Amino acid sequence: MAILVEKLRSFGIGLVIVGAIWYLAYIVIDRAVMPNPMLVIQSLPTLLNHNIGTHFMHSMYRAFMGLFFSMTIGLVVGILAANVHAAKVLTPFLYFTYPIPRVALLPVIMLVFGLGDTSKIIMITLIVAYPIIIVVRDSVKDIPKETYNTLICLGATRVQMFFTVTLPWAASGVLSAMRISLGTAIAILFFTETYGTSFGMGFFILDMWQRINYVLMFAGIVVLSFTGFIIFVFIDVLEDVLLRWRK
Amino acid sequence: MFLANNMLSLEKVSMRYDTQEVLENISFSAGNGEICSFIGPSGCGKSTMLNILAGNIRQYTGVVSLKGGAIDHRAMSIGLIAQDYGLLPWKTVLGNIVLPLKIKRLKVADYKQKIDFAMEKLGISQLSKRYPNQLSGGQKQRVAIAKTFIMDLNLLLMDEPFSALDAITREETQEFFLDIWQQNKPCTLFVTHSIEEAVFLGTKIFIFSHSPGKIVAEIANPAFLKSRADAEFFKTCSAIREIIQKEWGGT
Repeated sequence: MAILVEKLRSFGIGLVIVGAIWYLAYIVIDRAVMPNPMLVIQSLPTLLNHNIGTHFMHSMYRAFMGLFFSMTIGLVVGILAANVHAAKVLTPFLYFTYPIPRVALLPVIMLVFGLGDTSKIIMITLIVAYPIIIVVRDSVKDIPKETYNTLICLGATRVQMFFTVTLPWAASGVLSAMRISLGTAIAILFFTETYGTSFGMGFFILDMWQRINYVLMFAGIVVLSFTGFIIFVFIDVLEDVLLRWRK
Repeated sequence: MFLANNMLSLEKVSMRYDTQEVLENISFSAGNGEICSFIGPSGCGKSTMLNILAGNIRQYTGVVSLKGGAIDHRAMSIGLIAQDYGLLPWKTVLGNIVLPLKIKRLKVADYKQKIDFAMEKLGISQLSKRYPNQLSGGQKQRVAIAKTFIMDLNLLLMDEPFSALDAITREETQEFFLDIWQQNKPCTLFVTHSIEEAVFLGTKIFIFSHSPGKIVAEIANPAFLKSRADAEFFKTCSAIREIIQKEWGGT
């Protein structure tokens, strides 16, 4: 309960700071594209007339699926990459492909997997999985050898050592990596929702922009940010439950 | 109650990393009721010897036998207590203590009495739901000791287990250890660089040379279980100090 109060407090303070900066920007820029934050907040209920629930759920679905696959792939490939033998192939591959701007592969992904959710989720996964792979690989490499030694002495099998030490150790790295890549995930989500769909927060924002309805466009940005915020809280709660031992 | 026939013997055990000899012709034997203390300068290979017995090093020459045959880590119960405690940070105290049972696929329920007894004896009953990060060094080491003693040990290996603890905690933890060790008195090898510790805890004391490690002296310890203030304790420490000064050449 105390944690919840603490989180709400921190949310409130953040809201006030962002609100103040926004208001200042509204005064300084003084153009229609930067509306008064109070106006945007007042317009939030009218979003309901624009089917906002459906847009929101579509975005949530794509974001969660993307993060889920990124996490799974990150965990599996990251653990493999920490293995001496697999690393001989994986390290050069990761090293070579890491700097490639994977967003630029969008045309290929679109042509192969279509305009629907599959290509959007693949785009998010393609980008978010990378940092997770790297964090997991490094955290597995950092496991002290002594941790395995007591288990070897007990006659533990390789499978037992994997499930007792390697996997939990790697899993603790995944959550930290997810938190860091969340911003990127939402950015890619927005990007992928600008094509081939008439649902999702990205579509909604662009749609309102084209209709020159800047107030509702900003309301859409607020909701998209809220999507990110919900996922952030979700990761926070997961961390609190699964990584209690860190405190 | 002694466990039947847990004789450990090493015969001419040698080991080299690449071209460098680390251990040279280590031979000795030990059984139940014995704690063999090993003192040696850093890098003399005494930890390497334990790692061979723990199954972490496989390239060595010579013969190691326990209960008359090769060491089978899966079938036998060999405990390892290291300086870094060897606890898994994401498991609670109790979760760490039952880990050896889980690895050996034994039913935790069958060992409940032993677990309670060991935790009680080591003064950690109240800590069972805590995580290692929430414990002091001494408490962590007591958990590591409890974890080892819930098994019916064939052999116990201790690699500088008290070195990371401050002086007061160290002596207290040693007392805790001796108290639970005396229940079954499993055959124990104890590596240390402290003469006082070796004398306080060892029934026998072995002195290693500089690298490559050889055993240069073996002493039956008359001061075992005697108080640190006892004259015998003091005499034994001095005798060992003399041997060390001669053998290690003033280091």
